[in-house]
Amino acid sequence: MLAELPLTHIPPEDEALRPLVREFLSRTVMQIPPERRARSWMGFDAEFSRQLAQQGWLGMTLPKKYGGSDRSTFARFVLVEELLAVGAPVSAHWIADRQSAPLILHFGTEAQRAFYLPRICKGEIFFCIGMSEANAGSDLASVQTRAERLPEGGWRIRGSKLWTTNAHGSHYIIALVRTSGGPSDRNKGLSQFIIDLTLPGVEIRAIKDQTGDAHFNEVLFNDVLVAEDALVGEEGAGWDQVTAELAFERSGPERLLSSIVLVDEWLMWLRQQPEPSTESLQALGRISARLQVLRAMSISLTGMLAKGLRPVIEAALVKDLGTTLEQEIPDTIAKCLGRDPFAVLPERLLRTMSYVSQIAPTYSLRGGTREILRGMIARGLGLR
Amino acid sequence: MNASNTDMQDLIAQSIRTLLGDISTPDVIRNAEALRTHDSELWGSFVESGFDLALVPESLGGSGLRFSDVGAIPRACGYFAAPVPLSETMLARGLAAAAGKSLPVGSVALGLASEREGQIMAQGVAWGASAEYVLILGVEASVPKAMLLRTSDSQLVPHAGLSPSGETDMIWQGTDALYVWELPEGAEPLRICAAMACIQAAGAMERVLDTSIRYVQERSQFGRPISGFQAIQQQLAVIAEDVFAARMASSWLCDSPWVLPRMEAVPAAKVVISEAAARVSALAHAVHGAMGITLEYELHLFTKRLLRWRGLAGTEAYWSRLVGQQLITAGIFTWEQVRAEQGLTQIV
Repeated sequence: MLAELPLTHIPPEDEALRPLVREFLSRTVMQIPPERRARSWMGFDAEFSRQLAQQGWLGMTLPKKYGGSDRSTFARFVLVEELLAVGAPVSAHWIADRQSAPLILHFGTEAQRAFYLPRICKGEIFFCIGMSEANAGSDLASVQTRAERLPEGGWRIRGSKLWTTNAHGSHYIIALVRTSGGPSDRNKGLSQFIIDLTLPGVEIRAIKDQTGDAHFNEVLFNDVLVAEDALVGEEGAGWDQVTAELAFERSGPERLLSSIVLVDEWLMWLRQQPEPSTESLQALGRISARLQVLRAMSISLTGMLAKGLRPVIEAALVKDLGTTLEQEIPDTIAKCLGRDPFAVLPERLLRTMSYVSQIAPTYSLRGGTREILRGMIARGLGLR
Repeated sequence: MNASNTDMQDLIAQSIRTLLGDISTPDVIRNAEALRTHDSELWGSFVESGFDLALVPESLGGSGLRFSDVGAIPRACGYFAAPVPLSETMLARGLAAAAGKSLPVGSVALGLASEREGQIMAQGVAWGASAEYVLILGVEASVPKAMLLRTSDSQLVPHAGLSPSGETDMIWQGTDALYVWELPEGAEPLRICAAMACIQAAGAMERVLDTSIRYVQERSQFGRPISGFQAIQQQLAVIAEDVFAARMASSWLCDSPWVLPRMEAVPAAKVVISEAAARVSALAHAVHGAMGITLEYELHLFTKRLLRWRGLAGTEAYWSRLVGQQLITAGIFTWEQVRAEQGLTQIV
């Protein structure tokens, strides 16, 4: 049986950050229309990311010598939940702050840390992740993009990545590629490279989604030549490095809050109704109740990560519960709004609803699909 | 929470699990169910261990613990479907002691009252017929009251609904109460009963998961254990998710510095745990096939209780409406309210 999640409290010194963040957001974010805020961590605004950097809120958990603030994982939790709760456009720096910086800190060389981390903290460079490929989705170990070591030093990279969010707005991609062996070697022989997206041979093709946005891309590497130090971590250890990132990626507030702007728009509308229906009150209460318990779980995992634990299975479990709720929210609200066929609904609510209901299918896809996560949980239970 | 508290919690958790694990076996539970009477050997061990006085101050002969120290007791009572009102007696003695009262020796069941023409009526009191006393919680002239009544003074009618634990409908005359006292400020009768149902349900859900994991590894079809099939694995994963959420909600209820569970955690916890209880029960029966509903196999001992606790003191329909209404009235954004309701402040 998996260990129990300990009830965990955010320390007061990290709670103290909250009023500062809220004050900042009330000046910078609240006037953005809800249908744009509803993009949550898909909302790209480089200028906003740089404003956060000026507050010392990018890479805040990194050591001071790399430009960070040496703050705790809980401080970052407070910052992130406040940002996401109002739908601040955090997408530009999101990957660098959440994954790339910790990856470089843990597995990078001293030179790589000194080169990348201070610029991440200043909001000068943004990162994207190159994992999926046309024939490697859930089956990530079958990536075909290859890096070949050159006799004269450095590497040549050939292949393509798919569904790469923000490749068009980023400066670097951290790509998982094969450095030895073939598909039958599965997760052996994979390595991670930091690739400058302005290098010759890199081609980025935008892919539009059904909402009309173009956040993800196809990234082609046509014999891209990179220096020796583009390799991050150990050659052949890419799979373990990627797995280590996953606990950070799956249990944060971003797995609970993707539909929250829609909930608030609906809530404001409900408050204007003379007498909200029982069905609506119950639906609203269900959302709030489940969020309360999920938040406690997410804080608990934050505490485990802060202690250096790797709660990969537990993170999978929180992600599945959280994204299930995130996806139920637009469905539930749509059902409640349609109780009265003659109701005239506010445009901002309808626009927010329209966006969220179209993007919601991605919530359980990004960062590991529901079915893959449940398979991992089953393994954690000893069933496979 | 300091180290000695955690040590104390671990010690209590270990000893109650050992005690119940040894005695509260499926045969004992089945027997108690059939006879509608609680198990006397188990009761004796419980009293001997002093668990019934855990929440009573040391000055009154108890252990002087807080609810945060003893949450493992109702949880284990759920996990082992303890056929005795252990947690209820512990709570009753603690509540009485907080009002300076010492209750007579004997087991105490817990019931919610509705008053009707001078009579006190409580529906579906677990072990209502076999306990010596019943602690009745109710609201009288807007003041939450507790009353201790003698079982032998009441009219007893077997409860018509799900009755895994000798549930009984009980009626007393208003003048039958041995003791009457006011509950401490902030204590709500409905929330107290809902919290006790939640914590025990979290324990029972854990047991259903363990039982299901064992079963799917033992049962073979198509030439291999059914645990190897993805369809089965995915169902077990969903059960595990619900168990984790329920345990978190239960820990939150138990994170309480006084004699009762954390009252403000009840509405959200009851929504989440009630929903999970129904889903876990259904999924566990699905993976067990017909074997799961036989009297001989042990699954029903836990799933019946899950469904009972789901319905007790308000289902998710009641509590979600309340949470929704609170959010409408609060006048703040959803996430602010989520944080405020959660009130995860550190106990010192």
